[in-house]
Amino acid sequence: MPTHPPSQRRHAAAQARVATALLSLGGFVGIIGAMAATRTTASTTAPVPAETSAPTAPAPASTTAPVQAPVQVPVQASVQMPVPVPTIAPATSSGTGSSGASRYAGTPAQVFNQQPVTRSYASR
Amino acid sequence: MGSDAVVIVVGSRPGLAERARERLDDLESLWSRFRPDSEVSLLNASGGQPMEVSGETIHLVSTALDAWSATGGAYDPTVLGDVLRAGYTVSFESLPATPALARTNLRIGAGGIRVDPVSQTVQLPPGVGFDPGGIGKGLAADMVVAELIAGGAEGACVNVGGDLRVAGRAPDGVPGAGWGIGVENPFSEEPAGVLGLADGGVATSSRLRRRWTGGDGKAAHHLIDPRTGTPADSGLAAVTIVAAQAWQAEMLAKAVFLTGATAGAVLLDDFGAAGLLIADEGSILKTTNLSSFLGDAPPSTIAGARRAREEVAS
Repeated sequence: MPTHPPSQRRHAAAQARVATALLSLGGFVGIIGAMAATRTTASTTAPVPAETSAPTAPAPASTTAPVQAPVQVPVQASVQMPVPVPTIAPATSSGTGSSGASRYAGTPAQVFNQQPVTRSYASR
Repeated sequence: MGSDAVVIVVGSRPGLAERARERLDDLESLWSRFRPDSEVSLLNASGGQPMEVSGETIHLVSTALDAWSATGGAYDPTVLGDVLRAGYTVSFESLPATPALARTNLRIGAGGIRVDPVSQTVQLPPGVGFDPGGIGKGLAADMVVAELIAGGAEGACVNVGGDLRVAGRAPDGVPGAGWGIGVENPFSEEPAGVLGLADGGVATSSRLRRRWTGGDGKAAHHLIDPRTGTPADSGLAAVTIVAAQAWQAEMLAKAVFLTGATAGAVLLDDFGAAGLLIADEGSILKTTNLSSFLGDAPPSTIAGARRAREEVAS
C-alpha cells in the first residue's frame, strides 16, 4: 500500500473539508456581522511551501509557470478604519494557510502605494 | 478572450511592450472559444478524438485540470454546455439583452480529459466541452509577465479583463513599493480597497457583470455552478482574490463565489490566499490575511451599498 507524504495527506484532508463545505452549502451564512474588525499588526510567520497533489484529477501535467517563493515581509501598520469591516475567520480550517502560507500566497508590498496603477474587476 | 488588456512595463528596452501585446494576441487566437479557428474551438469540435495542440494549450488545459482538482470540482472547465444553455453563446459584446438559449447536449466531465505532453495532444471525452473561462485570462497574464521579466523588464503588470499579474519593480520606483491595485466594488464608484502587491496575481468574479435575461425571463450570469448547471447564487455579489499567480486567483475567486463566504473562508485559509468578498447586501468581508495587502479603508457602507445596488438593479 503506497504511503503518501504529509503534504499530500494534508491536502487530501483539505480537499475533504472543502467537499464537506460544498455539500453543506445553503447560501451565505451571516457569521460575520458580530465580528469586530481585527486588523492584525503582528508579523506574518514564515510560510511553509506545500506541494499540492491532485487526488481526483486524471494525472494532470504540472504547470510550468514559476512558483512564487514565499517571502517573509513586515506587515503594514494598521490603518484607522472609518467603518468596521468584518474579517472572515475560518472555523473549521486546519490553518495551513493562515499559519503557514502556501505556494498560493501572493507577496505584499513593503511600502504601500496609495495610487493604484491598475485595478481588478469582473470582466464586462 | 473577450476582454480588454493593459500592459505596463517598467525599465525595459523599446519594443518589449509591443511584443507583450502580440503575445496576448497569439494566446487569444489559441484560446478564445468565440473564434471558430482557435485551438479551444477545434478541440471542442474534435469529437472525442486526440488532437495535437500547441504547448500553450497543453499548459492551459493542464492548468485548468489542476484547478479543477485543487478545488474539488468547484472550478470546472467543462461547464461549457451549461454556459451555452444559459444563453452565453457569443462574445459578451455581441450578446443581445435576451439571448436565445442554445440547444446543446454538451456535458461536464473534466475527469475524463486526457493530456499527453509527450505527443502534445489533448483528448476530450465525447460530448464534453472545454471552456477555460477566466483561467485563460489569468494564465495569459502570468505567462506574459514572466516573459517580460525574462526579456529584461525590471517590472511588469499585465491585466487581462480584470485578472492581473504583477512582478518586479513598480512604476513609482520607491524601494519596496508594490503595485497599487484598486479592487472594484460593484455597488460603488469607489474601490472596495487598494491592494499593495509586490508579486502575485489578483482576480475578481462577480455576478453583476456579464449578466443577461435568459429565455425563461430569469436573470442569468456567466458564473455557472457545476453542481446545478445553473448560474450560481451563493449570497455573494463579488469576490476578489490575491494569490501568487493570476490563474490561482481566478480559480479561487470562482470557487469562493460558487461556495459562498463560509466555505470560501475555509478554502482560502487552506490555500493561504487572501480574499475580499462583497455580499449581496453590500457588506464587505475580508480574510484576516488580506490586511497585509491593504493600505487604505474601504469607503462604502452597507446602507450606501444598498442604494447603489438598487441603482444597479434598476
